[in-house]
Amino acid sequence: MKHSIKALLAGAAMLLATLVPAGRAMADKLHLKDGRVLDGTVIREQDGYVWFKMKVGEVEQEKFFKPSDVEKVDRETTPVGDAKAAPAASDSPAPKMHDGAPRAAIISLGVEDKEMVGQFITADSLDRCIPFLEKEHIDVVVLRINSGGGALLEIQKLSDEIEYKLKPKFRTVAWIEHAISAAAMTAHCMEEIYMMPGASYGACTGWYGQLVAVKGRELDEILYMMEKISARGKHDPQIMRAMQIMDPLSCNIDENGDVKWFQNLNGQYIVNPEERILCFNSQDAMKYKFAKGVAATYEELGKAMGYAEVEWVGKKVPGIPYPVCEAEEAMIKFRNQTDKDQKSLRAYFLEYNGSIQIAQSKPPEERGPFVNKARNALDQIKSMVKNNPNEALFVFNMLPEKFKDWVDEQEERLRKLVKK
Amino acid sequence: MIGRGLRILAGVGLAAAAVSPAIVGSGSVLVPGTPAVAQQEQAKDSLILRDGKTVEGQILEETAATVRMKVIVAGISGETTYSKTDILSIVRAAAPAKPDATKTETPALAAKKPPTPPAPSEPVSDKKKIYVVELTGLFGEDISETPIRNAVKDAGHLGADYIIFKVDNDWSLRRDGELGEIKDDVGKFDQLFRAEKMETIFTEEIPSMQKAPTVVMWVKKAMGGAAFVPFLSHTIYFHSEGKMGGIGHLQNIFGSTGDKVVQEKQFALRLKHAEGKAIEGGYDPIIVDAMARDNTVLSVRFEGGKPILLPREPESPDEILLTNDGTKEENKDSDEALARGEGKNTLTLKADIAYKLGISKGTADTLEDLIFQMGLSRTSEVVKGQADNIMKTWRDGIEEAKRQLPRMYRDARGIAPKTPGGYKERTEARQHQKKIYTDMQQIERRFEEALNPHAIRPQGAPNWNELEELKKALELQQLADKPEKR
Repeated sequence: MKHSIKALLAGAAMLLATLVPAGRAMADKLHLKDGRVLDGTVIREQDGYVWFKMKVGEVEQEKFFKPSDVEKVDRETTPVGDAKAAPAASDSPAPKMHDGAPRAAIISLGVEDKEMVGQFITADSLDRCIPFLEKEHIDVVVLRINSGGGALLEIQKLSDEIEYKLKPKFRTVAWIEHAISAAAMTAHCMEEIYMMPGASYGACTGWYGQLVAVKGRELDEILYMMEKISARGKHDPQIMRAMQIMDPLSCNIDENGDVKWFQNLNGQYIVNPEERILCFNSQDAMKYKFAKGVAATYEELGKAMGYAEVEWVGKKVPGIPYPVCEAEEAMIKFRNQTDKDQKSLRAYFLEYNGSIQIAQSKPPEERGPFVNKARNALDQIKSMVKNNPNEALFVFNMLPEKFKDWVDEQEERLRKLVKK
Repeated sequence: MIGRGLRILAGVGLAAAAVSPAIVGSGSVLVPGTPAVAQQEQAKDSLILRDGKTVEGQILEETAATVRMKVIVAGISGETTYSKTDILSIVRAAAPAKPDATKTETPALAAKKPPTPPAPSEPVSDKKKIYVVELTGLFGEDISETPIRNAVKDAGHLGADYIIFKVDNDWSLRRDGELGEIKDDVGKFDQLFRAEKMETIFTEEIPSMQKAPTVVMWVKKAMGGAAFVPFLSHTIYFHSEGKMGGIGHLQNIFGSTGDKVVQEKQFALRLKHAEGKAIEGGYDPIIVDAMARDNTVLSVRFEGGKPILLPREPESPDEILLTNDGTKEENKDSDEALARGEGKNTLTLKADIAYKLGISKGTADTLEDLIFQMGLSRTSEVVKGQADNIMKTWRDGIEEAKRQLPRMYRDARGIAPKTPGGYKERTEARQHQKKIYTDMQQIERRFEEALNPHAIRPQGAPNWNELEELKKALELQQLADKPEKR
C-alpha cells in the first residue's frame, strides 16, 4: 500500500513528539556515560545494574544497563514492584498508516569489495529498484550502506534519486554499516540515519592522486552542494563541513535534548577538534543526536524506527543477514555483473582487438568467424556499459553519448571487414 | 549501547525461563517479547544474571562457583548450570504455605488438572562443552576467515557452549624474509581491513547459530591486525605474557605524501572503523585511539576498583598516565623504555594493564587455568574437534599454493608442441597450457582471501585475471591456426 507523503510526515512527527520526555509518568532519569539522558522508570536496580522502562515512539520497552554504562540515576519512583505499577503516559498504539503491518525492504548500497560509489553504488541501479519496490507494495525502504566512498560526480545524482524518487513514495531511511566520504555524502540527504554498533560515518574530504586535496573553486562548489544536501536531510550544514575540511565543531545539548552546533570550540562538547576531519562512530552519532538509533540487526532496526510490527519483505538467503526482496536481488545482480565486467575488461579488449587483427590478416572470405568473435566481445563491452552507464566514463573516459558514437564506429569497422 | 540493549530487551521480554521458545522467524511480524509459559506450580527460585536476564526454576545444587537449576517450560524440563561469575543475585523461593485445612471446595486448579507425571527429562548433559581454536601463524594468511568459519561450524556440530580462540599470531619478520620479531611499537594499522573480513563471523554468524556459543578470546599475542580480533568478543583473557597492539603511529603511515587535510581524512576513517570494533565488543573506543595514534593522551583513575578513563594528562597523584602526546619531541619514548615495553607514546595492552582497565577478565597461562577462571572447572569438558586440523590444513594449503603456482606457471610457459609440431601437436600444446592456467586459477580462487600471487617469492605468479587473459590469448591463437594443407 502506498502512503501519501502527508501521512508519512504525520507518522514521523508523532514519533518525534513521543521521543521527547512526556512528563511525569516516566519520572526517572538515567544518565549514561556516553552523555545520553534517558527518561523512564527504574524497574530494578542491583549492584549498579539497572533495568529501565522507557518509550521508543509509542512502544514501551524495558532495557538493561550495566554499571559500566551508567553515570547516575535520578529517581522519583521506587523500583521493583512500585515502578511496575506506574502508568505509562499513553497506552494507545502507534497510529498505523494503513491496515496491517508496514512492509519494509532492505537494499544494500555496497558490500565488501563491491562498494565504490559510482561503480557499485549508482543512481541508475537504485532507480531500477523502484519498480520492484512498487510491485512488492513496499512502504519502508532501508538503504543499508557499506562503502568507503568513491566518485564525487555520482553524489548529486544519488541524492536526487533518493530525494525525488524514493522519499515521495517510501519512508526512506539509512542503516549504516560504514559510510565514508562519498557514501556519507549520499546518505546525508536522509533525515533518518540509523547506525550499526560498529559503524562509522563521515571523513568526506575530496581528493585525488597522491592524497591531493580538492581545492579552490571546485572545493567551494562541493561545500555548497553539501550545504543543500544537508538541508534535505535536515542536518546542520556545519556537521558535513567539518567532515570535509578541517573546521572545528562543537555543540550544546539543552535539557530538551536539542542540539545547537558551532563551527568553533566554544560549545559544551567538542565534536571535532581543530586540525581534524570529523567522522562519527555510533556512540558519537547517538550522543550528538545525529543518528536516530543504533541497530545491529534488522529486527532491532524495526524497533528503533518505532514499529511494534513490521513485515520484512524478502526471502532468506544463506550468508545474507536480512531478507532479500526482489529489489535487493536486482541490486546484487547489478553489483555482481559490474564486478565480473571489471575483472574481465582486459579479456574483452584482448578478444576484441585480437580477433580484429586476425581477421585483418585473412582474405575477406575467411574473416567471418573472427569478425563474429570480435562482435561478441564488442557486445560484452556494450552490455558492461548498459549494466552500468558510468563505465563509459570510468573505462573509456567518455560521456554516454560519445560512447554510443564509439560503438557505432566499431560496428561499422566490423561490417567493412567482412565486405568483399 | 542501544543495539545490545535491544537484543537484551528481547531476552528480558521473553525470559521467564532460560529455555525460551523462538516466537518469530525471519520476515514475519515482530511482536514485543511475550513471556514463555512455565507450568511449574511450586514457588520458583530465581537467578538474576549479569546480562539482565532472569531465570526461574528450581535450584538443585549450589557450589562456590556454580548454581545448577532445573527449569520446566511447556512441560519439558532441563537442567542448566550457571557460573556464579554470570549471576548477579540468587533469590530463593519462599517456603510454600501449608494448605488451609478449613477449605472444602473442590474446584481448585489442582483438582481440575490432575497431577501429571513429570515429563521425562531430556538427556541434557551437565557439562558445558568447550571448543578451542588456536589462531597461530601469519595474520591474514594462516589466520583467515575460511578456516575460522569452518572451525566455528565444527564447534556448532559438536554443540559447543563456549569457543575459546587462543590468539597467538606470528609477529616475526618471517613475512619479510628476515629473522627476529617485529618491534612492539611498529604499527601495522592497515591490517584492520584484513581483520574486517573476519568480523561477520563473530558479529553475525556465531550469534545467529541455533545454539550460539559464547566466544572467549585468550590473548597470547594479538599484534597488528590480530589486535582487532579480541575486541569482537565481550570476554577477553590474557596470558601472563600476553600483548595486544602493534597498531601504533597511525599518523605516520603516509609520511609526507599529500595534503594534511587528506591525511587527516584517512586517519579519521581508519580510527572510526577501528573504534567500531571496540564498541561492538563493549569496550571504550578511546582505548583504540590510544593504541593507534601517538598524540592521544590517556590517563586512568580507579574509583571503587573501576577504571575511569581520562583523555588528558594526570592531574592528581591517584591518576596514572597511560599514553602521552608522542608527537612532541620531549615525550618521545627512549630506546630503553621501548626495549622494556614501557613506552608511553602508544598503548600496547599487557596482561596487568588490560585487567586493570577492565578489558581482560583475568590472566591464565594454561587452558585449565583459563577454564577455572571462567568458573567452569567442574562443570565443563573440552571437546576434541577438528579445529587444529582445519587450521593446519589451511596453513599447509597456502604454503603448498605458494610453491605450486610459480612452478606451474614455469611449466606452462615451457610447453612446446611435440614433434612433428603440426596442427594437432600445436592444439594439444595449447590445450595443455590452458589446463594448467585453469588449475592455477582454481588454486588461487580457493585461497584468494589470503594469497597474493604477485607477492609469492621470488618472482610471483600471474593472478586470476591475468591467467584469464592468457587463456583468451591461447583461444585466439587457436582460432587463427589451421591444419596444414596436404
